[in-house]
Amino acid sequence: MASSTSGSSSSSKVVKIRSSDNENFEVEEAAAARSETIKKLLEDVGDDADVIPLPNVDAKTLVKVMEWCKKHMDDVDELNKEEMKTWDAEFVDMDQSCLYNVLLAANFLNIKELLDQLTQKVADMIKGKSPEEIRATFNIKNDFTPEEEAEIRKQNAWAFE
Amino acid sequence: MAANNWSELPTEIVKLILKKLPFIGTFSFEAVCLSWNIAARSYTTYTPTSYSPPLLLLEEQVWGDPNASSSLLFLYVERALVSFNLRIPTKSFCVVVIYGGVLAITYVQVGETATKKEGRIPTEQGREAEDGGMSGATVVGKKKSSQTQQASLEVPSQLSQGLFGGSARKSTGLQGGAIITWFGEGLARTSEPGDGSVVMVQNNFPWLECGKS
Repeated sequence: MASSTSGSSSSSKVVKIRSSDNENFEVEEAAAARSETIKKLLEDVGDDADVIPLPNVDAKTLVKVMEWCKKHMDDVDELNKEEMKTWDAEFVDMDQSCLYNVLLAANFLNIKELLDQLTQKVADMIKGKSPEEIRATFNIKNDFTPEEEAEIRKQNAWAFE
Repeated sequence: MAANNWSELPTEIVKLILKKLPFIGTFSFEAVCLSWNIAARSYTTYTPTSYSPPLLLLEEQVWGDPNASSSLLFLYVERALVSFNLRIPTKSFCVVVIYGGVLAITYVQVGETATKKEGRIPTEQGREAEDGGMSGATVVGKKKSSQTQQASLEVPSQLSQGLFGGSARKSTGLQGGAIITWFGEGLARTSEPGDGSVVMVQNNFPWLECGKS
């Protein structure tokens, strides 16, 4: 059955994208079009497109994002949902530095489903943690003044038990 | 040096994360750093004006362990959240009473038992008035409690079920749960589902720790 978003016959069509560090990638259009940003660019430039530059995404991150796009290129109902779930869970299980970059990339590239999965992952990493533990997990500096911090603690005293 | 800076996440991403946090998590979230604090505070879509009745949130992690001697209950009412420890040794426990947007935290002391009727227990009115340091959560309950008195008799049964249904029931076999009937400010009847003991309890502070006997 033909997919609704892009004809399956066109699966061989390839687009070129370029990372911020000037690496070029060839990606199946159906995969790249998971990104609304790329999709829109493709629509705008049509077949004249040579290489689509993605100035905000470095090569390492782009590889990761495209890996996800490729996996999610086909319509979901054709795939085993459980298998997909497992794959997704493994995919988002990356170190926090990588997670950060992929998160920003997914945002920039406007890949809603991926963004959803990644923010869910971040939320899971936050859940049940104290502010100190969250800072440690994400390498965040406590930039409150002592007064501000005292005030927050007072307001939410129960949360810091 | 880590190139990334989580505290500088774009607001739209922060909102997506907040959306996925249990309400309790947002409080830790906003205490992490200044920018997260600002983001969380400006994020208001969790205001549950559409929720009725108020939500009771059970923190599953805490409830998950059937052997835990303490559990946390979180009650979310009109942007206010209440949490408190449930210490559940023998006969002492804490309960939350909610009715039509009003919350009351009830605190059962050992020995302060146990009648099925509305034995009058002094209300909190006097004490609450004195207490300038009450939290927003309690204020919610306090402000509305007069309405409750008029409106109330019993917590609707589906509300009681909501209180102790779900994960708590599954994982802990109702440990620490109670069926609550709310009579208005300062007065509620609770009964432990297990052995059916019944106590009258009194409002108290939003986060209570029951003493162990």
